[in-house]
Amino acid sequence: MSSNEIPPKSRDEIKAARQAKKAAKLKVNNKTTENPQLTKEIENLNENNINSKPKVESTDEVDKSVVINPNAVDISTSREQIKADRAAKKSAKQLKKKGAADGESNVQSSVKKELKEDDSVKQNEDMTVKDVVETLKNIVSVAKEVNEITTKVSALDLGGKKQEETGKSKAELRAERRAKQEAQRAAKQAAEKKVVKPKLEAPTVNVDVPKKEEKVIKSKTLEKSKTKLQLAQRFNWFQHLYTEFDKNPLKKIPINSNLHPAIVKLGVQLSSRVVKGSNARCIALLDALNKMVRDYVLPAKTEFSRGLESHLASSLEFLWTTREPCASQINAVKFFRHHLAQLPNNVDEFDAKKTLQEEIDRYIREQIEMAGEAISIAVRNKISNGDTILTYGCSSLIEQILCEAWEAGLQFRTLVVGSRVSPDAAEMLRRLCARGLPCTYVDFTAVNYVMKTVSKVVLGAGALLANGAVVSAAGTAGVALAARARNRPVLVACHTHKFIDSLYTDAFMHNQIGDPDDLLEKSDDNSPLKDWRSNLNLTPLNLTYDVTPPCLITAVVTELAILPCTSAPVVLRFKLSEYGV
Amino acid sequence: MHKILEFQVVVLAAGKGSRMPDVGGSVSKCLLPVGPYPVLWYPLNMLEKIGFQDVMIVVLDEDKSNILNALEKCPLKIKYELIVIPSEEDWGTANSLKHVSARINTDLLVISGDLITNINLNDVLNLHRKHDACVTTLFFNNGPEEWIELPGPKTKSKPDRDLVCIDKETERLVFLASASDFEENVTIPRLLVKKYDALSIYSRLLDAHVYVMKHWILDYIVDSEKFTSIKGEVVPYIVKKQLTKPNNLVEKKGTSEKNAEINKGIFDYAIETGYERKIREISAYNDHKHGNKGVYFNDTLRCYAHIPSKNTFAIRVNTLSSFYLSNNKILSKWQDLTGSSLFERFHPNSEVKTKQIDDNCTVGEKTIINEKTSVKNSFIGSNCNIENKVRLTNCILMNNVTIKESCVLQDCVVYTGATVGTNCSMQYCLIGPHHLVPESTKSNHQLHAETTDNMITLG
Repeated sequence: MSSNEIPPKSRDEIKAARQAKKAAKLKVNNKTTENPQLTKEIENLNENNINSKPKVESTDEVDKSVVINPNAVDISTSREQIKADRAAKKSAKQLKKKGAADGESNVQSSVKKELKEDDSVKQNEDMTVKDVVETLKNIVSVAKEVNEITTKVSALDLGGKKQEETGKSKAELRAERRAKQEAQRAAKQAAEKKVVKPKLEAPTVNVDVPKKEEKVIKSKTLEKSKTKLQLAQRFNWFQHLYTEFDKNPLKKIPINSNLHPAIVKLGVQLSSRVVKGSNARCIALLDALNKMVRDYVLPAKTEFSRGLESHLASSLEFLWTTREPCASQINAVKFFRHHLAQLPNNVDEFDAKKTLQEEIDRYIREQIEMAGEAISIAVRNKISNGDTILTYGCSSLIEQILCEAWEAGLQFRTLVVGSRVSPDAAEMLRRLCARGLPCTYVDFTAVNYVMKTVSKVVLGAGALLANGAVVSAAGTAGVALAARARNRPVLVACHTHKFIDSLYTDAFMHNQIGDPDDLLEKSDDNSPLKDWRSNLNLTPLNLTYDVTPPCLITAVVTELAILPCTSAPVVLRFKLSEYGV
Repeated sequence: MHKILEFQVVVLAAGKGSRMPDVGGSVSKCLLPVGPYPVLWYPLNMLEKIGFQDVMIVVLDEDKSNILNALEKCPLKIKYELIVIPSEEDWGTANSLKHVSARINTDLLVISGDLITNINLNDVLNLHRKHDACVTTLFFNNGPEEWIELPGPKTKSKPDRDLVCIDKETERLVFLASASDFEENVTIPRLLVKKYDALSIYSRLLDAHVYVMKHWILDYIVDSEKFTSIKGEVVPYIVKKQLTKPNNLVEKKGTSEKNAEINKGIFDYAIETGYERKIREISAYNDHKHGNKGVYFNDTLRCYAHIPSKNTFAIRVNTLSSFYLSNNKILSKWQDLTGSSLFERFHPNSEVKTKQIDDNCTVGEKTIINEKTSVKNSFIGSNCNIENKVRLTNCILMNNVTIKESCVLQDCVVYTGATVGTNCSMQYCLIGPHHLVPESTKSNHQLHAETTDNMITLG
């Protein structure tokens, strides 16, 4: 452990941690025998929880914010205690839930709480004993850190006051940051203590420090509040996605710069969603690239592929600022770059352009148009007379499939499901109706009721990931789930040019934020939500995509074959060997 | 690296100022002073601000040297090229475009040389790009022009009005006609009412004469001989043609090829080279909610009109009132319009000896303002001479003006080279170019100029 300077309390807590560790080890060795000491502790814990409950309620407001308002904190109830109480409250809740569970599960639950506070990531429901051991190890390491920091802070306390007088120096800012971290750690420490040894008194050594420092922090946050106003209305979990929804680049499009006009036009159309749907976006991109290649003039003394590559890079950089690329676009760019790189060094400019343009045309013809026909035929074979086909949102491919099946003489009914937020499904309905298909439109909320009348669910896809998950318009996963609940087959129609070798399991990491105004009723001028931007407590979130897990999908229809969606890697490998991309 | 231009700009500055009062002699409209610079500088500065590097200016033959001189004195980085059209023949705007068509090989942005506005032109360009429009125009909805007491004899001028019909949601321009074409009734095509749920009809919009055009429209203008004016003929024609379907494709196959060449309609020019149609078909976007038509009602021709919000500043200096009004407001909007502050209100080569000159004045090069004069809210051009004991309030003095001793001028416009004799007192007067106002004239709302009309007005 650490040096001899450690105050006795921290040593206590380390002991406690060791004890807990031992207990956990014992559990591992013989699960049947109950450790009497441990159960005692848990009893203590329970008692303490009951005692602490009223206090916790009074300090609820404080708990909500990370930066504690110093006015709200009573001098008698130290910060440490509040944090500890809060943790105790949480564990009490868990105990209540588990009810008559045995001691082990109690330990688990309390440990789980710690885990959440430590990492706030792990959400595993079933925690094994191994996990318990690991977390106890974590506790020990955290305790170590706490000791180090308490010594640091006590030193800092003396220095900090001097710095406060001199004004905001770099050192002071650092000190603030350290104090903040320290406060958070202290909170963790307190929580641990409560769990492991509830009756331990809260430490008073480093309580004063964070309070003083926090006043400084608070004044700083007031200064920053103006910039934070904009951030305030961003949904916390999706902060990383918000950079995309920014209309400013459109206002500052450089005029007559090096970008090709077709690229600029496409940028505007992508960002204003005039071109949407992954196939449309892919073709539009290739069309713009085609025009760019056509009009490209090679500078003197430059290799064609290198010159065009740098031109391409700047064009794409601009395009991706207007809207994040989708899988089909990424693949199309990969394909284009592949062919660009394969051009021989001494290629004639005219020939090179011709080759590239031909390749682009071929890609559109083979990968999109002919593939679409193949998929259409494959799905048509699965549709029988009298079927009711349910589809969600708007997909150009599904439209093609259904229209061609109808024209081939199949008798079926179509159920179009849409959500209020996006007008896509209405557009799909319009297109199908225009071709004379019998259609029904239901809102997403009614999908469970209509599912029993449905014989097949056919869905479009934005991308198919390597693990077989389908990225598609938000709501698709819900429809697939409803279909699974009723045991209806879910077919996903997807070109292989939308297969992508990345992998994510939820819609949090990669997604796009749609226009939040779409969520609101626009026709009503008196809507109280009209000026939601002035209400800081209101945070509309309009996600564009969701991820449907492979277990909800019966099969993926591609131009190669009807596959289980878990064979996505096979398709990817096949494409790599076949096309080199 | 060779650049592929997206838009080429043509500034039309060959207007003769037919809506301005006749003051005798020639005054080129684009050189009227607004604040310290001529009118033409403002659109050029706006273009420079949003990033254009080259511009073509169509000017009249006789004005060329004057304009070159005037622009040289202005702070401009943009490269401009003057293209001369003969002054004797009365060329329309479409004729001017035909004249420059050989030099244009991209899409086209046409701007009138008398527009002063603070709008970000990117909004118009983006609307054009967004819908892949064939013509995009710009209108301002700033309400009726502010009333201001004008110098010169009182006239009852009727401003030209346009009837503009716009689908508000998509900003699509669906109907455009001049109000003077109609007597009592206005007939709107029934198809329009069928197509759109809600249409807004405006009659008091200010047409900015900003047109973003596809290149093929220029080809069409050149090939078909029938157009003379962009605003009066070309744009209304295309707007009207939006409603018709290009159904002559089948018929044409039957006729001989020679015949087809002659009867080339507008739809034969509107050819898309790439996958535009397919993209439109498969994209999930649609611009209207009802009916069973595809996006844009499957129209090949699409015209759009951008109407910026009401608080944008816009003025077209083509009448006396707008000229006077723009001078009145220019300094208060300076920062907003030009994006920079006005550093030199008094030209370094000018001699301002009086102290009674306020902040709302500008003084041009080599102008001498003698002692004991008082100047308020006035713009004084270059090479002027203002003698002692003169009082100027709300006046516009163009170049080479001499104001003799003890004159009192209020709300007057003095054209180039005019001289005002000693001890004159004038209110709301126009003094024509090179006119000499005799001593001790007292007048109110008069025109002093050497015109034939003049006799009648004075008498």
